[in-house]
Amino acid sequence: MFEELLLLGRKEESIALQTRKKTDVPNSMGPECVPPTEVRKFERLLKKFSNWKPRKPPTGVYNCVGHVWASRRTGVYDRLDEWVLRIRDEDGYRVLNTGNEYPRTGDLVTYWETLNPHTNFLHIGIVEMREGIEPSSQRLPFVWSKLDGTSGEVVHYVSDVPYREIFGDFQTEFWTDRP
Amino acid sequence: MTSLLLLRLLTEEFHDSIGVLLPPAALRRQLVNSSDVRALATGIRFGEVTADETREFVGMIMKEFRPGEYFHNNLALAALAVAMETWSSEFVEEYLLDLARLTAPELNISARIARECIKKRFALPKNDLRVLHYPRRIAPRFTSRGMRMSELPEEPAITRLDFLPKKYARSS
Repeated sequence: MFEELLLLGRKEESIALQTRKKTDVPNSMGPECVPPTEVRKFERLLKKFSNWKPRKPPTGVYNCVGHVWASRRTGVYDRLDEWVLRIRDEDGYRVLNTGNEYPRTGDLVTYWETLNPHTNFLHIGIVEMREGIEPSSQRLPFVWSKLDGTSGEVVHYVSDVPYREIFGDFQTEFWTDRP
Repeated sequence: MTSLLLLRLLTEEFHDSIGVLLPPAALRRQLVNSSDVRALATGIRFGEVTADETREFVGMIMKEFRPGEYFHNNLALAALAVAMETWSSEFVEEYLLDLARLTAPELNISARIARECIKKRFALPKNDLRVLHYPRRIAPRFTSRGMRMSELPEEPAITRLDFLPKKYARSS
């Protein structure tokens, strides 16, 4: 059915991407060019989530995992539940016990459908702590996010994500490389 | 003439209803729950959408494919794969297998969804044991063994699942 494409022989390109323990991470670079329909979709998302602050227009090269762990050079799409946890372990991240420790700028936040056990990875972003609305209030965790493979980058409050309307609920887990 | 159920997959409303594109496994489940995809699946099942029509539809949208640019009908191809994943026909096999073996970066979403659909399609059915606990406040009419829910002890009736294999016992 897709004979022409098969004949064209177009293949995903990947780059060398390894964990600290030198395990190769399967990755694939998406096309840089995003069509106007996707740009408009991103604009509609920004209207719907009016508190999101756009940082970068849509690009297709990387996804959230590539944003966080591949410096925006490529995306990681396959077997994400497994690979995200493996990168966490091999890169020396630990789970933040949010009961007695608050996240700091540069930590990571991961979104899952369920934790314990981790199933259905949804998203990962980089934490940036910002002042709340009240000057005296505690600093709040915001996130630098590339929400999907074709969106732009946005900064949003940690729980201001569209997963609740999709799955009813989701869970977050903060990871840090601090000792 | 192309069915409205198929054309619906190209609309902004459908794209907006899906929102951000989740990782493949989660996106597949989201598509399974989409009302548009469910309507299409029903249409296919009851012959409202035929194989020829679907083939024509795919041919039509693939004309818009441009090498080097993310394919904006990726989601429509993915939705079609999900709508047909449980349907048994040669056409469906052909569609899923052909889409799944594509490695073009422009179609990275739909090809991965097709791989997920194939995984589901060929997965063996599993027995699933679930233990339900109704909160007392929402089940005051419970009359099993002549006992109202409010009269039941706090602990659920089944507290020990040692006799079950470990993976089932976890659900308690």
